[in-house]
Amino acid sequence: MFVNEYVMDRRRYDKWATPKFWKLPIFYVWCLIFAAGVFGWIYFKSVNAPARWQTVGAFLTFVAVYRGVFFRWMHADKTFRLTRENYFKGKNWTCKTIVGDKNISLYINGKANNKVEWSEILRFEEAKTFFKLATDEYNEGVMLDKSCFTEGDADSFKQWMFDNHPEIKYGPVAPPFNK
Amino acid sequence: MLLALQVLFGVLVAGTGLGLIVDVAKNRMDDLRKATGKAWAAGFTVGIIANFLDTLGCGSYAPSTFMYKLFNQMDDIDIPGTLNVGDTFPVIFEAFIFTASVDCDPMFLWIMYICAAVGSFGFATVVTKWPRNKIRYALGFVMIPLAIIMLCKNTGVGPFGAVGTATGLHGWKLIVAAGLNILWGALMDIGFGLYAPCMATCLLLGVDGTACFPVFMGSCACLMPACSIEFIKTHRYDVPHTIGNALGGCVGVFIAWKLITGLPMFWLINLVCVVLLWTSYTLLSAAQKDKKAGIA
Repeated sequence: MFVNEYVMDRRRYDKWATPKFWKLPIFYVWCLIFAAGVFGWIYFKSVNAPARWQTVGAFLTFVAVYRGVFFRWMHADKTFRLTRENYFKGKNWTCKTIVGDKNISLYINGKANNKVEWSEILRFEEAKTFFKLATDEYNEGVMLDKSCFTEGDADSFKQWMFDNHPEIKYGPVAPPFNK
Repeated sequence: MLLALQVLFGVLVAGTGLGLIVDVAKNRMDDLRKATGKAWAAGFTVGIIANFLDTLGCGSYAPSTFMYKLFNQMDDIDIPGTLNVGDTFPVIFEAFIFTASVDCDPMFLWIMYICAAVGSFGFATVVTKWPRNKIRYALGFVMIPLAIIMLCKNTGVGPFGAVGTATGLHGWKLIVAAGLNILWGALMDIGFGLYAPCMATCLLLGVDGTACFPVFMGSCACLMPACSIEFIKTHRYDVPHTIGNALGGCVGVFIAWKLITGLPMFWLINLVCVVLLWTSYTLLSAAQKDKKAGIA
């Protein structure tokens, strides 16, 4: 059995939920849109096109910067702050994960919150500072901080996973989330 | 060159709503094949009517929900997702055609969009503690004198001066408009529409009637996809109604755009006043309803 316990604070949540934007393929699309917007804005101004076409350039540059760089972080940060405010009276919450032979039990602030069966785990992913037992194709799953094992440690957990759950595919976490 | 750039920009703006197409192609093709003609027609019709009203500033959620419920078109649980995802395309289209057809200062637009985003993301935890009903009453009552002042300005009655013709704001007026757009953006988090208050703010500070449209439409277009992503991820939307709504919505937006840009300024301002009064009525009646039900 392994036990992993940590306090979910704003920094940790943002770190886990927000990808490195420059490592996302879509970022380069936003870069192109930004370049087109800036070029259009300058070009329309230089040929004395109506101001409305300059505003379209401005709109594109804004959307590119906002969606390409800030949006995911802003969205994650807002989600964290709202969750903390609405469910935990404005305080950070403690997450405890007990990895057992039969299933994985999750506790929040000492209260049982969820049970995840091993059959629900699709992938065992490793990042620089955490493990993720992924449950779907999106960024969902059981998160275990490598430095927060109170029973067992990161290396023995990894070995235990290989020995006991060889059916779960192991691999690195997606590069944008490898923090 | 100019035309090519204009077309390119239209394509780029439309591309910002591609998440839906990708999700349908990857995960929801079966739902698409099973869709009946009735579902397509309903989504398309609701999209036209609701987004026509939305472009005028009346909002689209209330009429869409009313129509879907009236004709018992889908599970109630799918309605919010269908509206959020289905309205994303028309709202982006709205923002694009108004931005491309109305002269407005680009820096003014940038500042207003940033403020709406800052309000929505930065102040969400603050506004969720505010008393929703009291805000409804406050906004509802404020809209009435604002509409009357605009009518007076439009008809030249009283000491309020003439209707503004500025394409952007500067100085203290810009600071006031930016500050209020932060507030309107934040209030969107607790269910208040941004269109009417933002429109009233711009008009009262002297912005031209048509130049207000890209301001509030762009502000909303920037904030809206945040909700859509969650609904797309969890597949909580009805595919034919969503796509029908998106296509019909663009038609509705186009009709409204023709109407708004073709109207003489005098009648446009009168129309805006009617929208402000309608918004006031909806806010006050919702507040009364919740008060009776004992909801603060």
